[in-house]
Amino acid sequence: MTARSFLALIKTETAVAVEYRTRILIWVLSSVFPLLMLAVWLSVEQTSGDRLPWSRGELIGYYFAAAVVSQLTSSFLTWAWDEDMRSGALSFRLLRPMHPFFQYLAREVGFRLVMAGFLVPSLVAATFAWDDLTYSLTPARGLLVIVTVLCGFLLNVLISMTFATAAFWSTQMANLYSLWWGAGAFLSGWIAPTELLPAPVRVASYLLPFRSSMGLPLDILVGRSTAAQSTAGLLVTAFWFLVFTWAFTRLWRAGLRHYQAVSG
Amino acid sequence: MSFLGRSLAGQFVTRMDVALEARYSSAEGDRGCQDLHPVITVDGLVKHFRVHRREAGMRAGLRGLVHREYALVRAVDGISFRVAAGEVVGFLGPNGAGKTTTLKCLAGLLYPDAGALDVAGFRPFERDQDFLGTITFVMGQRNQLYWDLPAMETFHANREIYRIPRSDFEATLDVVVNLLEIGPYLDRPVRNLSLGERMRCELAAGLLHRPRVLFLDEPTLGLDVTAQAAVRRFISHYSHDYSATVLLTSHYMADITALAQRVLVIDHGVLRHDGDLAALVAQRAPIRQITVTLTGDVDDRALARFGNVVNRSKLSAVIEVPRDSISAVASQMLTALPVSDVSIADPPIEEVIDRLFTERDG
Repeated sequence: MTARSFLALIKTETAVAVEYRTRILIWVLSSVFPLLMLAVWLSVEQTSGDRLPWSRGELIGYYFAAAVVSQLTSSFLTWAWDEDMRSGALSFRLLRPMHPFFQYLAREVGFRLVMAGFLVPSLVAATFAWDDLTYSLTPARGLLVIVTVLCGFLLNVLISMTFATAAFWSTQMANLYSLWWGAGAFLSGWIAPTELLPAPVRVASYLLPFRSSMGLPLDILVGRSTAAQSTAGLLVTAFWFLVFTWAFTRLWRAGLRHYQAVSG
Repeated sequence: MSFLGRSLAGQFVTRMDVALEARYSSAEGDRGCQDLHPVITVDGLVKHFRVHRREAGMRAGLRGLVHREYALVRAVDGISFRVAAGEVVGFLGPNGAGKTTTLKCLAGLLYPDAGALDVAGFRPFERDQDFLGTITFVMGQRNQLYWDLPAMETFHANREIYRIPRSDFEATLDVVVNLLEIGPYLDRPVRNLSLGERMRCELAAGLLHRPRVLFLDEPTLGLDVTAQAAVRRFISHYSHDYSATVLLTSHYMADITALAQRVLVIDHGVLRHDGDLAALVAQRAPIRQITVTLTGDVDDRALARFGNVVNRSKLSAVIEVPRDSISAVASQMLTALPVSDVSIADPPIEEVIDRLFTERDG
């Protein structure tokens, strides 16, 4: 595989992603869920006064950005893999002289690019339209946000690919991944900024991989992460990246021997 | 050299081609040396599957929660064969005989439980990228094309994935589009194509990288006769012009008789025949059929004297006669009956194959 062939595949997958306008609209609309959490936290902020360490502006900035970041870093690869395995489409991916990991990665990148094309300009427009929504970003911090979003996305793809590969043994991996995803919703900073979680849970969220794709870039974006904390967050991301790379390569090698190439 | 060959000869030499050219140069140049240079070698291939077994009904379903029963399916049970460069081999057998499983092992999709496989100098299951660029596996009614995009988008994606130089790609595409007559469909989303149109585009997508080994699993399944003929014509052209090695399964005997010089008959995972089609018919059909056209009415009993009458109308009859007495019987009929025309043929190949498997079941 070459970088050129990977880029060509991303181009094709992007073309697939833009094919259905209704699907794009539904996905964009599904981005509003973090804003429901914002409504909850704003009412908490009103009643708790100074006891809440986050300001109203920080909460608004966090959850508006969460609506975008959650779409850019999530991965639905495990479900796609499950469907491909049952339909026989996985066999065609295995027959191409390009590792299926990169084929699925291209698919995810294509879709996220389309989402980014809608959501990022919408967020920028919202900052102009609403005074309460502001980000005081330095170029360095802006760059760090982009880097952490990319790292979070790649880690999520790798994790979902690892779960997908385990489907060589069990047909229930998509359901197991849903459980993982549910746990991640709580520990990633989706339900609450991780800083506001109870201490033991907060420590767990800092050490586990979930925060890498959500809380870490958002904390940096709203200015709630020091340079040391950001570095630590990136090191945790790198650690889990290594862990899942190891797990994926092991599972892949062993799993291929179990593949039954059903449906066709 | 044919149109296909003339258009592309000398133009499309990829890294894989060079490697294969060196590896099989004598097989290319001299068909007489084919046996020395098999492109496909299968030696004692075994592939078994452990499948969950469960009776119908709620009680069986609940029992399955605590105790699962499994059965061993011997999909392929120790088959061996070789295929030389440029050979087109038909793979015959009833459903579940092990044909597709064998093809999947050869394409590197399935890991064999036992046996040795070699395809174009590669061990398929290692899934070397050069190996994957050397083969194609077309599965009837299975889709490798991007469903939501015009087929042309898949072709371009494949150009990059298989690293086909642009000029070679365009030359191959031109030929493939003409032979398969898919020009009018290339700008329509695949989901809007008919099965026949889509299948032809599938073939094109599978062959743009000019594979040297083709695994075709029911490539004409569900197609109308026109589309079937177009696909057959194309496979024939392709295999001839590039000495491509083809292993083909089909339930349409017309595909096998039109394309394959040799057939492998597999049943219950065991190879039951390996040889040319005519030999199979001679071996498995000890009778031939004489079709006579009569100029006047003839009594049934008069016809029955010559053999087993399997079809009868007022002025014609089809009579089965033992193979070794066919000449004598035909001669006697010409003198004894008011005959205007006689033709002798083997029974339809479908009947021969059916007889082969029915004998086994009996």
